[in-house]
Amino acid sequence: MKRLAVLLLFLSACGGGGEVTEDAHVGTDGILAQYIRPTEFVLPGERVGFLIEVFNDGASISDGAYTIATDPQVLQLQDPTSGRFKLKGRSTFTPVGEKKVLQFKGRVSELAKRQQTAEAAVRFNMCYDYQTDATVPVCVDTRPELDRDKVCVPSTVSAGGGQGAPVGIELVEMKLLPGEAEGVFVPRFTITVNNLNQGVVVAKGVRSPCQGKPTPKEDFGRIGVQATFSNVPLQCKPFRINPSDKSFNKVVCTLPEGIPDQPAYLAHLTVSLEYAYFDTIVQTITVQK
Amino acid sequence: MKVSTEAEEKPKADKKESPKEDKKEDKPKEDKPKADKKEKPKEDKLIGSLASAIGKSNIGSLASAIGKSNAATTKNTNDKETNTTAFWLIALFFLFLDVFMGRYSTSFSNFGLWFAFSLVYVFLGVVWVISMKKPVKEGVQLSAIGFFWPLLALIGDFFPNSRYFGMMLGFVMYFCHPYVLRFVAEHPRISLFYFLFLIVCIYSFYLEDVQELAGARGIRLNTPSFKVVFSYYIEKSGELISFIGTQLASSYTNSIRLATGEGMERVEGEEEEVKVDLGVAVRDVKSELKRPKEGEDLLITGLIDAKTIDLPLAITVACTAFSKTDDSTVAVREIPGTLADDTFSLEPEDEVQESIECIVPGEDVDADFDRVEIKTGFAFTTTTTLKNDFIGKQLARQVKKEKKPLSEYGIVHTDGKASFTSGPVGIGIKTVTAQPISVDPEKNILGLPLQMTIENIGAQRRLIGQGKGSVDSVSRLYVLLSKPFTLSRFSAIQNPSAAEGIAQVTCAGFPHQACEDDITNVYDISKAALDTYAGEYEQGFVTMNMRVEAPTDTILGTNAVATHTFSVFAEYDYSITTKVKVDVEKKKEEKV
Repeated sequence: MKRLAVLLLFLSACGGGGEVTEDAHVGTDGILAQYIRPTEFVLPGERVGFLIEVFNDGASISDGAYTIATDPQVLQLQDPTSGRFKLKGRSTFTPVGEKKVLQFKGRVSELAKRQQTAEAAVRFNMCYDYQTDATVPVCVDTRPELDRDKVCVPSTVSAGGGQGAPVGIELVEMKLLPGEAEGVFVPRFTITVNNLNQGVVVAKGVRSPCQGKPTPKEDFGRIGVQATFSNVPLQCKPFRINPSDKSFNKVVCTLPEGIPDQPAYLAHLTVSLEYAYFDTIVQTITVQK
Repeated sequence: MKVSTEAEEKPKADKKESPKEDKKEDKPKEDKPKADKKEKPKEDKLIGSLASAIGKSNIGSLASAIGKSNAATTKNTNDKETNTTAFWLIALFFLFLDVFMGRYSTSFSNFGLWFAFSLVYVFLGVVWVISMKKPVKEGVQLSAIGFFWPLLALIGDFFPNSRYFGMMLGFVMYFCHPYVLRFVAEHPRISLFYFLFLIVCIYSFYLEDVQELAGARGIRLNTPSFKVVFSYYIEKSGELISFIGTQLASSYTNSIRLATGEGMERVEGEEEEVKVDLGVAVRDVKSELKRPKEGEDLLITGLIDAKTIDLPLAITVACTAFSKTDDSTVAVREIPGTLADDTFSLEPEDEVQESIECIVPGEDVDADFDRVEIKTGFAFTTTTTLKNDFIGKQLARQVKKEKKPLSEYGIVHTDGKASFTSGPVGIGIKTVTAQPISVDPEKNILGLPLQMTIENIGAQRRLIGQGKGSVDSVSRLYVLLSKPFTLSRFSAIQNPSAAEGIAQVTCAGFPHQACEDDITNVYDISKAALDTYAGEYEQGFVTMNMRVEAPTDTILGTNAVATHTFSVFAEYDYSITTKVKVDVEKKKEEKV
């Protein structure tokens, strides 16, 4: 008994607390960028540098591109002003995502003698692919008329708070529709998806917003959806996120072959959303004599 | 005199009315008359002056001015008359407030505002008791009057869509105010009713807001407690009161700034000024002799204040006297004056004050002498800059749909305001009102109007001191456009060229500031091209229309949002004419 107690103590010490087993699929951030020790006031003619930390605070690996730009009349940035990055996200075993520090240099223009001050916004744009993965437990009950000895009761499942990505699943609603065959029910899932962060959703692989190139209208808000129900792939309709009316942001997925009539049970719905995300951070510099 | 008589009678009236109070106050009996003696003359003085101000001889007639019933019921208590006077003053105060606030105070939905007014009454009640050492009962009555406001607000809401009716209602209610106030004050039960009514109002009015707020935070509240609702209400009222305070403070600051001629914005409001006073001002121009005699030498003196930063400044001064004539067939005689100095030069970054001394010889100073004019001329340059943010058309639409602050997408220049440097002329430039400017990739070229207004603001801003300022001519314009933008039209001239007096020059040919050819297009618009507008300067402003354009695929470069700066440097001749009227006294022998 004593040995068992010592062994348990040893094992719990090895566990290192709850951090290792922390769920990575929480939060609404994807790639974050921030100016390190931002320069706010500069002198005319001065050479300035900008350090930007790009950090994957979500749960997906991300491949992306960036550009930095400003008003050249105030600050002329040196090449290269664009590049690419690939950053691993958080996981169960690595609770902190990968980060990268980028460095940019520039020269401040001279001011006219009567001009006391000038301002310029230094914009850092990122366009990166991202993926939202969510697993939601749903209750399947093909016999709603019976109300005793049930394992679970069907209801709308809320999945608020994000899944470690800027686009998140908020609600999952399941309905069982009668199938063609007797005793078979077709589950239909209505999944509410929303842009939970500050950026703009574009189709996977699209980098044009960051590069000043025209982006086709149909690429905005386009999200690829893949879902499985108890590991069986579902059929999902193509989906575009609508930022102006969030009530329309619903994906409908069905299992055409259906499920047999059986007592209530809990199953897992797995949803994977694929998209690209455009985000910008701005630092205003003031030129003062 | 009658006022002082009434003051002497006051203690008697007090004794009759409130014997209990007198008994209680027996102990400080020795002190009280002294205090009364000290206080009464002050009150009487105030009442007397008020009465005399409105042309009445005594308090009774003041009360009758308020209402006959007041006069009848106040036969025995001067204190009540004093109260009535105070009420009357407060009512007048609120009348003025309501004129300013108009409809807003007479609406039930503007709860915070009218409750703030109620609080003013409570405050007055407290002042009445603590500061003026009046009976507590009167203070409570005075405070209770404040709760008359909900009724007024409720009546205002019967006419929810008529602001003018609300204002009219405000006027009518406040002309009746003294009667109503008195009625409420004399019936504490009604005051209590209003107080309870107010509590219910606060609760019911803010209940929904609190529930909504709680709902947004994921909490369901069916019947929030009074404490929760009132805390929310106090928070909201605080915000409103602080907003009103800020507005009043800013209005005061603005009026002071306008009064001193500082920081006045141009009427069109498309630009703002960089506030460093540059240029020339003429001050204190006057004749040394107030009424010179015929034949006497006339000395006109004055001061010139001048400041420049980047450019040398040459100032010329001319002095001319004029005769007067009532006969239109007789020409006005112009008499040249003699100046001690007629030119002043300033180096860059100079700031000087020079004296003007003009002598008109005595032989020209005769009976028909009218005035002396000092004309100060100088060439000056004013600069204006406008920043525009450009964004792809589809991205702009998407950003708009997102309904998040534009700054989160790097769009910071959204007001379309240009800023101009200090001087006697204000220059505004604008492109399009809708900012940021979206770039449609389906069009090859993006063309933008570039409208520039040069306005004579010297006198308006009192920057030029004494006299009338005028723009004599604009001698040159430099238009600087961030590449890839080019100037495609100036006035009616399409694709302007050097032959039309508009030349694209390099940064080396641009004298005003360092610029770089690889990022800037510089256009030099000469006087020949600007003479199209020569006749328009006299009206005080002139608007010049230009057009700029750029290939759409180059505007954004490799960025989501691009900023392009447009600047104009205007070189112009400006003059300040200061007139001094001189009344010449005729010689005595001539009178004979």
